[in-house]
Amino acid sequence: MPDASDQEYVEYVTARLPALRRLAYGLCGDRDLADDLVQETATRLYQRWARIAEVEQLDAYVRTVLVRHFLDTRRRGWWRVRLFGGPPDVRFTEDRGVEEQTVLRDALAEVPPRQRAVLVLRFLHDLPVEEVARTLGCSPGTVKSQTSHGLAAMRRLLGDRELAGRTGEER
Amino acid sequence: MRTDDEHVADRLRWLDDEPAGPSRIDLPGAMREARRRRRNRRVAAAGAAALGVLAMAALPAALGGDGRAAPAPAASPSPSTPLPELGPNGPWQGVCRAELLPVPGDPQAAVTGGDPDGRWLVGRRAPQGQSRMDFGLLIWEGDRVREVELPGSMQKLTDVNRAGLAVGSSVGAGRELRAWVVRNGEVIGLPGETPRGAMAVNDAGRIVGYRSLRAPWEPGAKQLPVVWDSYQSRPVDLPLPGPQWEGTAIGIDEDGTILGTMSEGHREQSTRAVVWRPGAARPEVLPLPQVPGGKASQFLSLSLAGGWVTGLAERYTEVIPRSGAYMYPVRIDLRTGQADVLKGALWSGTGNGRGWMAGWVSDDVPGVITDTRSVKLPMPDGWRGERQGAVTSFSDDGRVLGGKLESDDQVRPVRWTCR
Repeated sequence: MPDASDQEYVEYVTARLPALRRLAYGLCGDRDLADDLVQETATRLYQRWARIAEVEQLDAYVRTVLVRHFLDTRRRGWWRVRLFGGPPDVRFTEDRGVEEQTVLRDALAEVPPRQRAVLVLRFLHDLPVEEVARTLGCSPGTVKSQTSHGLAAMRRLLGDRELAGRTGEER
Repeated sequence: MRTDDEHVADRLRWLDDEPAGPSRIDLPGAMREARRRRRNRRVAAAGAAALGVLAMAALPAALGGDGRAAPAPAASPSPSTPLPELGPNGPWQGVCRAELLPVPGDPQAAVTGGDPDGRWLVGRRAPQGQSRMDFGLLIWEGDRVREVELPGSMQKLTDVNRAGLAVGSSVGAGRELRAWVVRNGEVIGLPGETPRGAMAVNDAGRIVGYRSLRAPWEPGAKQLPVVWDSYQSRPVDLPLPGPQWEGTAIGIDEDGTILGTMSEGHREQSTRAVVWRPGAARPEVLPLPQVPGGKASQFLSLSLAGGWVTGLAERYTEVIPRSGAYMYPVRIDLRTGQADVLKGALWSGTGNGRGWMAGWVSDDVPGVITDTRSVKLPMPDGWRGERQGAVTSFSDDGRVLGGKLESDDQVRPVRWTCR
């Protein structure tokens, strides 16, 4: 039954939807899966909404729910997740180019999930290391090492001459 | 940060945008689902207090510690006789070694499947081409490797039988999904008109997979399970448990039993194991297993072999644990319907014909969980850096496993052999 608290929930989530969809899309690189992630996050948030007033930083809390649910779905080898390796969403952006985005998203999708989450939170969402550490429930040192591993993985996957690093020498 | 790291980080920032198209987020739906979960939990909690002790006592087998034999469940002995831990080389000791598989040229590659004997492994190279979506395919027979090319992009072989008949899929130039077999190196398209993919093959040459109403990356995509009697036969739709059900057939046992991972409608979160037995008119939706704390909320199937379904049972809880939701490795004996929670954690992976499971047992440790013990799998000599990867093939005798290892700058196909 709708009440004032429900109204607050709807207003809050509606205002946060663009940011949550951006985050989810950055993490999984797939429009449908991104919406599934946000839908589940919204569901879990509502389950706790009655007690949520005690949470000091609601935005950070919701982000944490979303990121951890993402990691969880990746960990369990969720069958639907890029099961077929279908091409990621392809969109044309004038100054960036469809190819570049496709290549980047495809590479990002191959980075192990925790490293990917670190890269997305730090570089797509510009969160400080400490905030990323709280979100993932690990130490700032781990975030730094995961950043380094994740960037190395991206260099390897992108495989450009200019970025190739060690991969180029192995061939 | 290295200069080239900064370059990568800058390029990543280009990706910061919202997905195209209208949002599918349904807030009233989220609120309804949350209320339903709260209701279910209250009902479950009321019963749990009384049933707690009984439920724990009924958790059968496999709960012994590492290397310690689990007591047999005395109250309800399983009528099926599990295979003894005996093979041509004596009892399975769980002593394993890891080796990287040979790859011609660039060694970056991964194993994506294998046959029940572990003689054949299938895999693919790291992606090539400008868009990084072209995968060269590899088939190993022992230490011999054969290169195979499938038309299109996003090529992947998913399974191979004891005769070396491999199955897989790719995406064609028009972005349509195609299913393939590879037989003695020859690539043969599987019959059918609609987009389709092949997931598994048994020794009789029956192939299971899915057909797709719209491509998987299009809105409203839906997969329906299909079977090909042979690689020359047309695909036949498997009967659904109900009109709204959708999903994929992911495994076929040697007796012809088929396993699907299905859900009742795409938006419904609960994924279930569905079984088609030979000769049965209708599929069975397997009950959600009991896990510590109550009944699982959903079951994610991994494999079917020797009458054992393996998978991961997930239970939703009020408080999200640090590690994410509660997941339990579970095996279900199709002869009795009994579901066992295996000891230990598992991230994805696969099962074998004894109902054992293999995968990543913690952040950086691959391992095997048998019915009585768990065993860590080693890294190949000289392996440096991270220890991430996957196990994608597990022989019925428990002696050969295939998968991939990934570290900062490499991905390699790996085979573990165990005594």
